[in-house]
Amino acid sequence: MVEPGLIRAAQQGDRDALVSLLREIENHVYRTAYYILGNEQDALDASQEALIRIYTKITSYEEKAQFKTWVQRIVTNICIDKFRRTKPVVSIEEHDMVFREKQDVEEEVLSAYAAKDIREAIDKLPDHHRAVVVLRYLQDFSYNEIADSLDLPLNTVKSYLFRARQQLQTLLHDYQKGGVRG
Amino acid sequence: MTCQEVVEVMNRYLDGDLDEHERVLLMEHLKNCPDDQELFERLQRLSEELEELPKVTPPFSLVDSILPQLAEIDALRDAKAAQAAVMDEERTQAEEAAAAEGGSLGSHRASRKRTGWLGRRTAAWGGATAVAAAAIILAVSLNGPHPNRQTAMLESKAPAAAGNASPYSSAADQEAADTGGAAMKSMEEGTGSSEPATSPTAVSDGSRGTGGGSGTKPSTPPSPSARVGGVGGASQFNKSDPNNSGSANLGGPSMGIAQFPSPPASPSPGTEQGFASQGLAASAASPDGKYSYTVTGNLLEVFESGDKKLAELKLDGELQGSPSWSSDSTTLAVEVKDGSGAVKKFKIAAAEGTVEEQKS
Repeated sequence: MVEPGLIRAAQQGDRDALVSLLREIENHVYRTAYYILGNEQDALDASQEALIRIYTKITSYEEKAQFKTWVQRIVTNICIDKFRRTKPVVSIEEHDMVFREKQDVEEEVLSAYAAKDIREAIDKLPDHHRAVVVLRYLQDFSYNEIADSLDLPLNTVKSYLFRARQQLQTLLHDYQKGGVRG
Repeated sequence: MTCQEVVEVMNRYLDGDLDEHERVLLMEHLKNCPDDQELFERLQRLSEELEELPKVTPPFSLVDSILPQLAEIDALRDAKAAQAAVMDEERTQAEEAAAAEGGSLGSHRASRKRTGWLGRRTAAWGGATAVAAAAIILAVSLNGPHPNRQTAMLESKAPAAAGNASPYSSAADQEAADTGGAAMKSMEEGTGSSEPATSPTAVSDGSRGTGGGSGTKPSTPPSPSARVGGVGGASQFNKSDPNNSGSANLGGPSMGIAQFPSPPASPSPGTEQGFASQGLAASAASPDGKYSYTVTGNLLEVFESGDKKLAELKLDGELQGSPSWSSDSTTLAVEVKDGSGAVKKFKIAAAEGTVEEQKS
């Protein structure tokens, strides 16, 4: 949580306050970029661009919005608009039914999915679904905060998040079958 | 609950979005539905995994890495602000007082060269600055050709290198002349004194943000005394009354637009019209303020209301004295001495936009 006083000082032209503010948010900015983009180099580039944009646009921030959602809007926009390469993503719809498949008992007792598998699965989600997941799990945002950050209706946020979970579930299930039994 | 509804409720459970009643309903449903129970457990496990994703941090300080860029942004922002200020000044015709502010000069100039029309103009003037000594110095007379002009020319203290002498009244006092010489010298050096010399009757307004008028538009000062906004390398004046000794109105040297506001026409003894010439461009309004001309390099242009170009004249030689408006403001008389020493006289009819050479 960034001090409101620090934000106001930064907005009033206090350069030191503005730089301090950037230092407070840089990890949050990077984390979102890292999970949306899926690699360190792009994440660094996007984060730097986001921080610079925040630096130049700080006066346009209005207190009616939460500062953290304003920041995340900037970084997600940069990630999705500029850095996200066209990657093959799996259609969310085609896995709806697979999701409800009965699982082998064997799989239920398997150890946790590898973090790497999860990251790969996240990387396969469509952009906005992935962004919703990142904000929910890496930024601990509520539905409303995600909606504000991504400029999406609340119901769309829920829909994306729920579908993303289904998708991840399915993808991880596939990895598991491939890795353990295939 | 239908199974679809259950899926949504399970998800909302994971997000802590259920109230107590909904939570009880969900648990009851799961007890009776093994499939959904299994799904629920898988979702819970997934959600836990997601929550445990490493909170990655950048390998180095991102803010430190962008500090140089932030400094550049600041510099650019400052420069833009300065440019805006400069443009504002130019509008009020006091731009060049800024040049006298020493330290800020560099950044002002840099910013102006960076962008837009102002930058281009500055660049154009820059070339002329190289021959700043070749200042085109114009005098404006209320009442047409100045009887003392020729004398003034001869007595000019301006350095010979100036190419165009700075004419001033033969009656100009020595102090004014000396100051004029100093101003010219300063201009050659590219710097200037910030001390505008003022004559008793001319008002030299060299402070930033103020000035006699805007651009080439004519302004009407409250008194016949000229207000000098753009401080020039040399200044001069023409008296409206040849019998009256005038004094030069000197501004500090720099390279702004000099402005020559035309006082209301009602010359009386003691009334003088001073102006500053900045050596690179000069302008003057017609007595009625409707028209004005500017001289930039060897191009003389006539404008209406300061921006609508009516006519232009390429100067194939040195201006003799300054172009002068007829008292009814309709024509501008221009004298040019060509390489052979012959003086050509032109008459520019402002409204018609015609240029006519006067055969003598």
